[in-house]
Amino acid sequence: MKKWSVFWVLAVFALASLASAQQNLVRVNLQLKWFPQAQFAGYFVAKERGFFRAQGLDVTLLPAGDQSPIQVVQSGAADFGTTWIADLLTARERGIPVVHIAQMFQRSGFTLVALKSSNIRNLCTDMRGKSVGVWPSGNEYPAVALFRKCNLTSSLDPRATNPDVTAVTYPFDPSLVFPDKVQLVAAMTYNEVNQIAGLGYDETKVDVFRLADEGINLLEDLIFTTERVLNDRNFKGSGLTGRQVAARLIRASIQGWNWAVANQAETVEKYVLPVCGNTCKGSGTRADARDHQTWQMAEIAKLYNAGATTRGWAGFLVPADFQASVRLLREQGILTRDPPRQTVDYGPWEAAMGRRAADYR
Amino acid sequence: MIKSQPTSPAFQKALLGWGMVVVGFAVLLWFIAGWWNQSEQATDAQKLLIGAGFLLTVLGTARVANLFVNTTHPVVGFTPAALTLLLVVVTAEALLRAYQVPPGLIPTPSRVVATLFEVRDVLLRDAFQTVVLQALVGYLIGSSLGVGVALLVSRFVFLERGLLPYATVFSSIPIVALAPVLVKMVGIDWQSKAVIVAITVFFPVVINTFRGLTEVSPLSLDLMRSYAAGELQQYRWLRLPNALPFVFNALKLGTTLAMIGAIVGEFFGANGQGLGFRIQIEAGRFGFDIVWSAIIVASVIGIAWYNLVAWLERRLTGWHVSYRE
Repeated sequence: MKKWSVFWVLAVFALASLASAQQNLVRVNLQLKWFPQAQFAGYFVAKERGFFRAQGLDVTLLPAGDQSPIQVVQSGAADFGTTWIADLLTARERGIPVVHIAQMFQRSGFTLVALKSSNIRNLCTDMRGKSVGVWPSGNEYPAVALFRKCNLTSSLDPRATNPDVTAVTYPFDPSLVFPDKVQLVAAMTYNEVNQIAGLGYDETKVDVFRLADEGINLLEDLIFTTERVLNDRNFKGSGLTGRQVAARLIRASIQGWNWAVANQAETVEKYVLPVCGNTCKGSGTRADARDHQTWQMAEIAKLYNAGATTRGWAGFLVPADFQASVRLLREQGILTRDPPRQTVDYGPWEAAMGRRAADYR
Repeated sequence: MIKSQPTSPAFQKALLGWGMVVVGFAVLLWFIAGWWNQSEQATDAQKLLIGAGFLLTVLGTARVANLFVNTTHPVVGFTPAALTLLLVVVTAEALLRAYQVPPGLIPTPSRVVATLFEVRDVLLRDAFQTVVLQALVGYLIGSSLGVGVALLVSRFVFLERGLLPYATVFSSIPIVALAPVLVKMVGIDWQSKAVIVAITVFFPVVINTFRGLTEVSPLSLDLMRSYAAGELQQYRWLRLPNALPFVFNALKLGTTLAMIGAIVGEFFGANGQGLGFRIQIEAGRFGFDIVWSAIIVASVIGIAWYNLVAWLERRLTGWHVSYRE
């Protein structure tokens, strides 16, 4: 009897101390858009250097394969996620109540790459009858917008019986399709462009078409959540509202990003390479993970350090940029109506940064 | 149907059953019509009404189903099952509308049907690639190779000892797991999926055919020997007919495996068409009306294919004990 009571007291004590230790930190799941790589350096830094913890958050960073981060966040498996604007807006139009709360990258890194020998000089005129490799799960929209802008139908459009362009889906390794199966392949400035170079098709052998230069400037990595999370009065019983949690997440993420961009070598060495396995490697002659991620970090820094960020407004969604993305998607018929006002919520960002969105000039 | 006099209790019971079905459906359809263009959630009373309509139809269908117990006509006998399907679809439509579930999560059945009609040309082209080029070609290659190998294995004991154990092992692992490897090896065109399908279908066919060829009644073998039948004659008149029911079992199983292999294979890289490609790309962009349309097309084709093989089986093995009336 006595022995047991001692045991129970100890057990209750242990549980209570565990619970109180947990209580201090709010558990948050952040769904990343892709496998771990330097594209998410800011979040890794914020986690490992304790920026999240300083905000009272215990953040778990969830990697993604080729599933849509919106599905994960919508289902509640993650509270926040990172994705691209077209993905977010189309989901919103189909009734998924997702909300944009911070714009981390101010520039687009989406390109199409073609061999110089394939004689593609002008995308719009030379793309007809060609095959284009894209990633599925909402990552195909920039390419779709380009096809539409050039008045070309593609096999991604379920209403086009005789498409001008064949879009080929491939998981994440461009060598699967390029250059044998497709003449053009989607490539991010910070990842696949270097992988393709590693396969023996470097800058002297390929043309890299930045979609931003073709008038397709769609915003990329952003932080979003759902209306359910934002309107939560008591986020997971933490006593914080959903908005407060969002603001803290944004503040810590921006701290993380600023640190990562300022200390790129250390970021790659200490915070990126330890969390990523095979997916951090490049391809062919540029397969080394450290080299590839160092290069990726430098390219990512260019996307982060642009526009509003350079004026001290990191994470801010510039209204004009947002409107431009919306207009482009509407013109190309990817959106059929303007997104509702609730699609963007500046509240958490304003609370995080102590600025008012209306003051942006 | 039970022949019954207009005033008999059975007739009254039937009438009551049909009445409940009609009223139940009327309630559900009335709600759907009223809620066609609404963007608000229905009130609790209306949600209860849907529940009542559903219950009424279930009870009515249960009564109606009793009338068909002794029906032999295949189409008429399907009535209760058809009522169940209709009920599920109509109730789903009513509930999705009542709760205003966004189409990006679950589209209403009516929306799926409208989309199916709208994108039918593209889906048919997708189906051609997935079903004819990938599933059918792979199926034919896999099953003919399977039968061929089984013939050899049943004839030569060293093959039975050396090869068959592996066939048994392979037939019980999920070959679909090989899909990413094969897509990488063979490429993203339809051939890679045909290879996946062929491998998936191959092993069950080998195992079943082998069993059919070897599990021959010793008495029949003795009879063949007493006729001084040669090896070929033995196969022609005894082993092959004996194997047919086994082979057809594997072939029926193979139709399902082939559809799965072809569709799942496309998830790992596709050349811009195919049902699996369509499902994957549209699921990623919340176009679930198209996803469901593609699923319907795949299901209809899958069922038709299975039944075609089942029909062939009945034609070719009509002598078998399981078909004797």
